[in-house]
Amino acid sequence: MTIAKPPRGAAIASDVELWSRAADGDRQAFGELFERHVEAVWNHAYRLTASWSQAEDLTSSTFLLAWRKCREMRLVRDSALPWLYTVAGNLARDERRGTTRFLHALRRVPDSSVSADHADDVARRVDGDARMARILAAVRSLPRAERQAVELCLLGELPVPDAAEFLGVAEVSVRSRLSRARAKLRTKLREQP
Amino acid sequence: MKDLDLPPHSPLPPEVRDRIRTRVNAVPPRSRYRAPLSVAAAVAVVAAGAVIVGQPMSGTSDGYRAGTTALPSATTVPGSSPQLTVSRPNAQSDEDLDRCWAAVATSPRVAEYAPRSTWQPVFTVTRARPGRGIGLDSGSLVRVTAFSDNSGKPGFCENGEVLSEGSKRSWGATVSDPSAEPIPLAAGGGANIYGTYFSHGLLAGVAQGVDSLTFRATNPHPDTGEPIGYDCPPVVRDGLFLVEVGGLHVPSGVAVKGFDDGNEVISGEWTYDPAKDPMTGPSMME
Repeated sequence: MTIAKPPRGAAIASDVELWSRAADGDRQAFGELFERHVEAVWNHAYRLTASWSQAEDLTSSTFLLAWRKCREMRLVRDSALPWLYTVAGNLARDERRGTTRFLHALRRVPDSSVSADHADDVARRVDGDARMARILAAVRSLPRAERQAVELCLLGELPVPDAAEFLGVAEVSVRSRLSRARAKLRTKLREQP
Repeated sequence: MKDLDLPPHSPLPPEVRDRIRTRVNAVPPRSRYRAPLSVAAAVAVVAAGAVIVGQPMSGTSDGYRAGTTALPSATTVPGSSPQLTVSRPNAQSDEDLDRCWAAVATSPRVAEYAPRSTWQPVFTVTRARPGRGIGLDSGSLVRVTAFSDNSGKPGFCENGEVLSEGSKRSWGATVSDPSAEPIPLAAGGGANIYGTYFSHGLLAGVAQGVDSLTFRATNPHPDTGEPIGYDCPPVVRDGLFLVEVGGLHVPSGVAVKGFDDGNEVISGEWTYDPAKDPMTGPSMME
């Protein structure tokens, strides 16, 4: 397929501006948001699933929902990433509890790609997947508030102020949750073989 | 983070980026959404999807066509307003549940809901209000699908669309709140009737230990404020009910009677309390 990158003007539009235009139905603007963040969301999705193939599904679902929801969402700190990461986290949890028809439907979309790809290179990534799976198991055992902070700030590497504003809590609360979570995660990861 | 020893971020291979982009464009065929990304290679897929999804809800300046409401299995609820119909679960029910799940999946409350894959539709009630043909009132359509999950917990999923001036549409999906305090309508003698969802004048809930119900709603006259009572025929299937009781305003109320084999076994009344939160969960608008 031909990759058609959205045209860019002299000035780079902010996420807020692109999001607003996408909310009005501007597909070009949404395309630019997609190109800007798809790699970050894909990497975050991997950290939420420990599977590159699941990360691909999760990334697709996340952007589909972003398109559907952008009219009613307000961005914080000029970044769409906190919202995209949270959606990916919610979808990942549902995928673990029972695969949704939504994702099934996505998988039924014909895929013309036949060449070996990134996800096929399993052997090279076995170690990384296993390590990620151990971390994920520990993260999932955390209380909800701490898990949310970990997913956004540790797995997603978002700045604490962005996560705090998105979660609607004070920065000090996020830092406190992260501190408690780190201590628990270190203990749990040391206990694991 | 060093302390977690996370794998480093990897560059996104172009072929993976292409596949994701294609999937985002190739919206599932039953959906009515337009594809979001402007990519030439996906135009054919998008066009095919648009034709398919344009059919279920077709509106005109005179109101709604019968495309959605006149399903072969749909029947008018006896004694109800002419536009209220009930139908067995069908493809439209599944699509509506998908939309409600989309609202849930993007909500911070997603953990309170059972996975979409466990939602089984029980019945769908459609209320189509024809428009007056001019001005802002061009008709509306509300569909509520009752469903239950694997544990038997009930839920209600509402999809609605409103036509306004210039045939501009707004569409939304709302799902019931699984954590909301139920509306107690009647209880005792092994029977229990309670509401779990109210929206757009439609009250839905659970009826245990009875096989049929009667409802009588009381609402204030719009001009005089005097209470006016009227009978409201409900839909009752598999222990779930839905009834149109109209808009709730003080002193609105609902009286219910439950029957088993034709014998009245329970009755009760409920008075609307505006201090209570609406019993709706996540929603999304398009």
